[in-house]
Amino acid sequence: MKHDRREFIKKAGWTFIGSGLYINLFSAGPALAGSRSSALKNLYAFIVNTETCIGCGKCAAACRAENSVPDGNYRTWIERYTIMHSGSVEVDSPHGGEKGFTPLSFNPADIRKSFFVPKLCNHCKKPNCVQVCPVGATYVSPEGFVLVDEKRCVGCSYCMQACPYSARFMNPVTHTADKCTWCYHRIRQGKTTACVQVCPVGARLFGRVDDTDGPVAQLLKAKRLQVLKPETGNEPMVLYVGLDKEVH
Amino acid sequence: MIFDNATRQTNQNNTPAAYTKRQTYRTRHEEEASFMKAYDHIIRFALLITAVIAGFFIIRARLVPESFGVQGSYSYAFYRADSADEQAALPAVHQGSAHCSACHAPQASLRQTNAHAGLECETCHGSFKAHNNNTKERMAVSGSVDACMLCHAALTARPAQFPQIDSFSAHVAQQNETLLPGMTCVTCHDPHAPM
Repeated sequence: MKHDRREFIKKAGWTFIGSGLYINLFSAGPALAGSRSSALKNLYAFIVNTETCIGCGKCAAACRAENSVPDGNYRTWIERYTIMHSGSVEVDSPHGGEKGFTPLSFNPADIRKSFFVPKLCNHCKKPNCVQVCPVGATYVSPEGFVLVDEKRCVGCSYCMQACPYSARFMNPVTHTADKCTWCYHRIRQGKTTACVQVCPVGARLFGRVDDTDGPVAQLLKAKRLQVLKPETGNEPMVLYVGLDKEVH
Repeated sequence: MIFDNATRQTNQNNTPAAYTKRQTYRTRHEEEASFMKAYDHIIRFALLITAVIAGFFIIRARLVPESFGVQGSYSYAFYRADSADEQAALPAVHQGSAHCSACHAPQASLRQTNAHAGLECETCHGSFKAHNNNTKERMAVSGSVDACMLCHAALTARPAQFPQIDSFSAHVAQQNETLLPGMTCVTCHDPHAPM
């Protein structure tokens, strides 16, 4: 066999072109052939208004009833941020705020401001938790909901570590990863989420982003909104009204 | 001694006598048989590998659920597609006020004209659970002061415009009422039409 530079460059060239073609032809295949979803869309957004939240904890209680959340775990919870004149930040969330809050023990003169921040799974566009799952047990649904397939979950809790929002927990009953589903079952049945439904002051809103008459689209237009920890690059779909820089 | 001489004659490459002698007498048939024998271990190995690969695909087909696969994105949608439909089939526990007003119309209409107009029945009464499921399981209705104070106790973190009271006794005194034993918020306020 002839081995010279010309032959080598020729063969290398053909290999390069061939592998390029292979990647183009075959890697596009499964993505185009997606059976139930053409592409991932984040059709829904959840808006939390920290300016109206009264910290009654009805949302957390309703969530527990709706989703059979075990005691001691929370799919949604309320944090109370208290910012002092000194600049220090105090955060408390007794029982996840589910049983309400007691008055602050600080000297009122020292408090600059105090407010409630309800938290839940952010149903991110680019969720870390989904990427790290080794068994394909957590995923972004065609509607943009981040869900857990408890039949596939092996309980490695890698997703819990990956979530920058601590939204996930290990369910002590099923021993699988668990978190807020944005009441996926209720949404698919044409209802709204349990927490949105029971909120007495309308501090929580949920709806389609593209529904121009809907409450979410109107707030998106009317308010300046912020997300938690934008620097993580997860692109959360829970948007906050009145979020201070101290909140993380 | 003669045998020794003969051995020396054929043993030109210092190989053992017996080996050299056998080679000399090989027939064509024997040559072919030894060829097969020489590749026997490779054939067996190839069969084994084939069995292992076939076994892998058979076991894989049994273990991987039918709807499992890439559903549009490798990074974010590599999952069992049936899982979403299974979750969507879960029963809703909270039913909404419209569901209640079918039987509890007076309370529902009273509520609509008042400060609690924006509230859902289930906000205060809790989730329906089995109540409307033909079992008529009684719902927890708490008329206690604590139930009202969950929302209306004065907290620094609450928006200033939201109606709040420092304590029940202070509120009663503020309203120039006498605090009587057994008195709660609902003594004066109808929870369905508080103001």
